[in-house]
Amino acid sequence: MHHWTWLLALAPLAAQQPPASSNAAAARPGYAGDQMCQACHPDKWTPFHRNAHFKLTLTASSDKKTYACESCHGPGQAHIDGKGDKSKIDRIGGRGAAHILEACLACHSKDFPRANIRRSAHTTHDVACTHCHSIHGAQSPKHLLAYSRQRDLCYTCHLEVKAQFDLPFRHRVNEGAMQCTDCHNPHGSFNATWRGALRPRLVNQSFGDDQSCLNCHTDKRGPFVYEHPPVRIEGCEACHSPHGSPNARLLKRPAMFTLCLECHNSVLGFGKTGFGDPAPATSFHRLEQPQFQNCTTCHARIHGSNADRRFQR
Amino acid sequence: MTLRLTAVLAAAALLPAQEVERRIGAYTLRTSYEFGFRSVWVDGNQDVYRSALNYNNGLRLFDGTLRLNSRDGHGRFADEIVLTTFGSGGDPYQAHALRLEKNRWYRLDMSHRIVNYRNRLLSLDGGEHGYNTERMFQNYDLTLFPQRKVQLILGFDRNNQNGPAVSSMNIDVRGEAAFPRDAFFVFTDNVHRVNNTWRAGANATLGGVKVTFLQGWDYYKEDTTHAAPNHQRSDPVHGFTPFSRLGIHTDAGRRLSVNGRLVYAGGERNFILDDSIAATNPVTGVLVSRQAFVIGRGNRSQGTGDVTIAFTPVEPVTFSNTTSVNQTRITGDTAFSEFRQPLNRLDPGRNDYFFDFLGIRHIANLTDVNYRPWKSAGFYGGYQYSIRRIQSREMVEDASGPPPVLPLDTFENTTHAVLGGIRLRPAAPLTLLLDAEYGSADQPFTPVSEKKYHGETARAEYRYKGLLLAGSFKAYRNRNAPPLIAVAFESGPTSGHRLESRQYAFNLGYTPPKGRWNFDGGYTKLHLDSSSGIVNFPNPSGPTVALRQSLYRSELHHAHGTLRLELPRHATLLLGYSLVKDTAKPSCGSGVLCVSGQPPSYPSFVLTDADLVSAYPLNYQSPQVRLTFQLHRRLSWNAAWQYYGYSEKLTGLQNYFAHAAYTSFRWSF
Repeated sequence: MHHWTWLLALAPLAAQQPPASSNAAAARPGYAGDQMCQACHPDKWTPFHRNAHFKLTLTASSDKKTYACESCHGPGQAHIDGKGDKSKIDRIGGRGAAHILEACLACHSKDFPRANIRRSAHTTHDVACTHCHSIHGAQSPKHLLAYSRQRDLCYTCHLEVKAQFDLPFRHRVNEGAMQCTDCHNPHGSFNATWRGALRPRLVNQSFGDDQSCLNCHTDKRGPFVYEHPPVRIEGCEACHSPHGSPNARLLKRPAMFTLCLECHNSVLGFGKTGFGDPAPATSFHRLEQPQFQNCTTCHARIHGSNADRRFQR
Repeated sequence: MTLRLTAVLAAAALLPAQEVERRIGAYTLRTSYEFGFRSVWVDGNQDVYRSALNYNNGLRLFDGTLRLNSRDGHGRFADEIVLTTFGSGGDPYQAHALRLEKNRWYRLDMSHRIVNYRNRLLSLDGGEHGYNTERMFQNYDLTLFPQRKVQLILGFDRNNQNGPAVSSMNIDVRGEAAFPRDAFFVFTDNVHRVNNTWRAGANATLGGVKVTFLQGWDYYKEDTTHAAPNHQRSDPVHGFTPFSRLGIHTDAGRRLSVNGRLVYAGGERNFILDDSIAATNPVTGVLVSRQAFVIGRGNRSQGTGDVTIAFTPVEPVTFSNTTSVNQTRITGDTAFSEFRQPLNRLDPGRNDYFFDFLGIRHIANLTDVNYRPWKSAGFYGGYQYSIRRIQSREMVEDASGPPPVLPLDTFENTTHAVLGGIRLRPAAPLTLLLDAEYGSADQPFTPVSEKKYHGETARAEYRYKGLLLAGSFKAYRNRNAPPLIAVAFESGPTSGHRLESRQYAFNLGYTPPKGRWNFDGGYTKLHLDSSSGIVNFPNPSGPTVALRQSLYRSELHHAHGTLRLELPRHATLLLGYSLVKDTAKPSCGSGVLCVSGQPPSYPSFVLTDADLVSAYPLNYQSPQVRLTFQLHRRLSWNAAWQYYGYSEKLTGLQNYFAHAAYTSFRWSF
C-alpha cells in the first residue's frame, strides 16, 4: 500500500466539487470549442499544454467539446463564421486595462493574495494583468511572466529601483538570491500596520500583518522585553534603505552617529514619553573617538534586547 | 502590442535560446543547463569584497531548467514538473525551486536558497567585515485540490543562520579600573539560529464568497554562544508564535467587491543570558570578575482587522474604501542579577527586576476614487486618515525597596494624506502618468518622521515595435519642525528636520525587426539631501553642548548599458557596463562653517562649533563581456569576464577590485 493512499480518503471531497473554471457542463450556444480554434491558431495551441490555462481543457461539456480558449476570449462561433473577423472575438488586450482586469478576475479573484487588486497602486495606474503576464508567450517557467526573470520585468517600469539594486550595498536581487515578490505583492496588499499605513502600499506582510523584512530577519522579530520602538512604529525603513544604499548595512547615513543623533537629540514632543528621544550623555560620549561614532559598538542589540534597556547586550 | 514588445525584448535580452522540446511518452521535456568553472582574482580590501560579492573559484552549475509537461493533462503522478537551479555548487547565492503539480489533485512548490556573504557586520570605524554567517531558507507549500472549490493548504518554512559573527559588549562598572566605562570588548559569537514555521489552512468558495483560513505555528530557537579564556557568554532564546488569519472576499457581480481580514499573532520568547568576564585591575593587580545573569520572557500579541469595499456604480467609476485596525501589545519582564568579585564598595552589584510595556493602536481609513472616462485618460484620487496611540511604561524594581509607581505615557498622532493622479494615453504607444501626494501629521513619533510632506511622480513611456523609451521623475520633501531643544542653543532654529529627494531616470531599449542585435541602457540620478538638528559636542570634557545641523548630501549617478550582437559563425557577443558614482560634495551654503573653502566632513570631520556635513563620494563600476559560440543545436560554449571596482574617495581603506571570469557550456538535452 502506497504511503500516499491516504489522499484517496479525500477524493470524495474533491470529486464533489465542480471545476473552478468557467467551463460549464452543458453545451454553449455561440461557442465553437477548442478544436475549432486549433485549426487556425496552431502557434498558440501547440505549446498550450505547458500553459497553466491548459487545465481548462480537462472538463468536456455534454457535446464533448472543451472551451479553454473561449473561457477568456468569449464565444468564437461568430469569429469563425466571419472567416476570422477580428472584430467578432474578444482580443482582450485591445480594450483597455479595466477590461483586461475583469477578464482575468472572472477566475482569479478567488485567491486571497489578489483580494486588494481593485485598489492596488498598479490598478489605479492602469497596469493591467497583461503588462506583466504573457498568456501565450510567457518567458518564465512559472506564473506566465513576460520576462524570464522577475526582476527584469519589474525594472521596465521601476527604473530607479533598478539603480538602487546596483548600489554597493543591496539586497541580493540581481544576484538571484531574492525576488521582488519576496517583499512585495504586486496584486495589492492590505494596509501596512506600521508608519501610519501611509507607505509602502504593495508590500507583503509576514505572519499576516507584520513587516516583510521579518520573514527572513527572524532574529529582529522579537518580542523583546526592550523593543526599540521605531522598529515597530515607523518600520525598518526608519533607518534602512531596503533596496540598496551607498552605505554599509543599508543605512540611510554613512556615519552611524548622525543617523542615531538625528532622533536622539532630546527635542521635546517626540518619543515614547513626548519628552524627546534622549540625547547621549555628553560628558561620556566623545565623538572624536571611533567607537563613539558607531553607536552599535556598545548598543549592539539596537533592534531589541532582553537584558538591557539601552540595548547593550 | 505590449505583449509582443515585451516578449521581443525579453527574448533579445537572453543569450541564444537553446531549450529544445522533446517528447517522452505522454510528456514533453525541455531542459537547459549551464555548467562551467568560475575564476576570481581580487585585489584591495578582500573583506569588503566578501561582504559585497563573495564570488570565488570553482566548478558551478550556473543555472538550469527542467520542464516536464503532460501533453494531455492526464499524467499519472504529475502533469507538470518544473525544476530550476541557480548558482549550485558553491556560489554564495544559490536558489533551487521545484514545482510538482497533478491537475485537480495537488500542487507542491518547494524552494531552497542559500545566501552566504559577510553579513553580520559590527559598526566599527571603517567597517568590520571579517566574520561570516550563512543563511539558508527553505519553503514548502502544498495545495490539495487546487482547482476545486475547497482547497487544503499545508506549508513549512525553515530559516537557518549559522557561522561566526562579531559582537561587542560594554561592561560598564563604575569605579572599577579593570572595566573602564568607555572600553568595550569585541568578541566572536558562534551564531546558531533556527526558525521553523508550520502552516495549515483551507480555501473555500461558498455561494460566491471566498473564505480562506490559515493557522501557523512559528518556532524560533537561538543558541548563540561564545567562549574564550576570559569571557564566556551563553544566550539561548527560545520562542513560539502562533498566528491565525481569516480572509473573506467576494466579487458580487463585478459591481461590488468586499474583502475582510482578521489576523491574530501571539508570541513569546524565553531567554537566559549568562555573561561572565574576568580581567586584572591594572592598578592593584587583583583579578576581578563580573557575571551578569538575566532571565525573563518577552510577550507580544498583535491583532489586525481590515474591511475593504470596492464599488463600481457605473463602468468608468470605482470607489474603494478600506478601514484597518491594528493593535500591538508588547510586555516583558526580566530579572537582572550581577555578581562581582571582589566586591566593590561603591557599586556592590545589582539585583533588579524590570517590566516594560509598549502598546500601539492604529486605525487607518483610505478612500479612493478611480475614474476612467476614456480609454485614453483616467484619474484617481484618495484621502487617508489614520490615528495612532502609543502607550508605554517602564518599571525598575530594586529588590531592596518597594516598586515605584510610574505613569503610563501616552502619545497620539493623527495623519491626513491626499493622493491624486492622472493617466494619459494620447496615442497607443505613449503612456503618461502624473501623481501627487500631500500629507501632514500632528505628532510624529521621531524628529525624522513624516510631518509635513509631499511627493510628486511623473512618468512617460513610449513603446513602438522594438523600441522602448521610458523616463520618470520622483520628488519627495518632508519638513518636520519640532519645538526648540531644551539645551544650550546657539545658532538659531536648527532643530528641525528637512529632507528632499529627487530621482530622475531614463531608459532606452531597442531591438531591430530582425533581432540580430539589441541594446538596453539607462541613466538614473538619485539625489538626497537632508538637514537635521543634532546635539553636537564641541566640548566633550565639559558640560556645554550645542545644537547644530547635521547635513547629509548624496548625489548618486547610475548608468548602465547592455549591447548584444549576433556575430558570424553562430557567435553572440554581449557587452555590458554599469557605473554608480556618488559625486556629492559638501557645499559651503548658508549656516555651514567652511575652512579653506571646504566644510568639515565625515569621516575626517573636526569637532568644532560648526555644523556637521556628511557626504560619502564613491565610485563603483562593473564592465562585462560575454562571448557565446553555438557549437550544436543543443550545445553552446560561453566565455565571460566581469570586473568590479569599488573605491571610496575619502579614505580608500575599503577599496577593492575584482576580476571574475568563467567559462561554461550550456546544454539542452
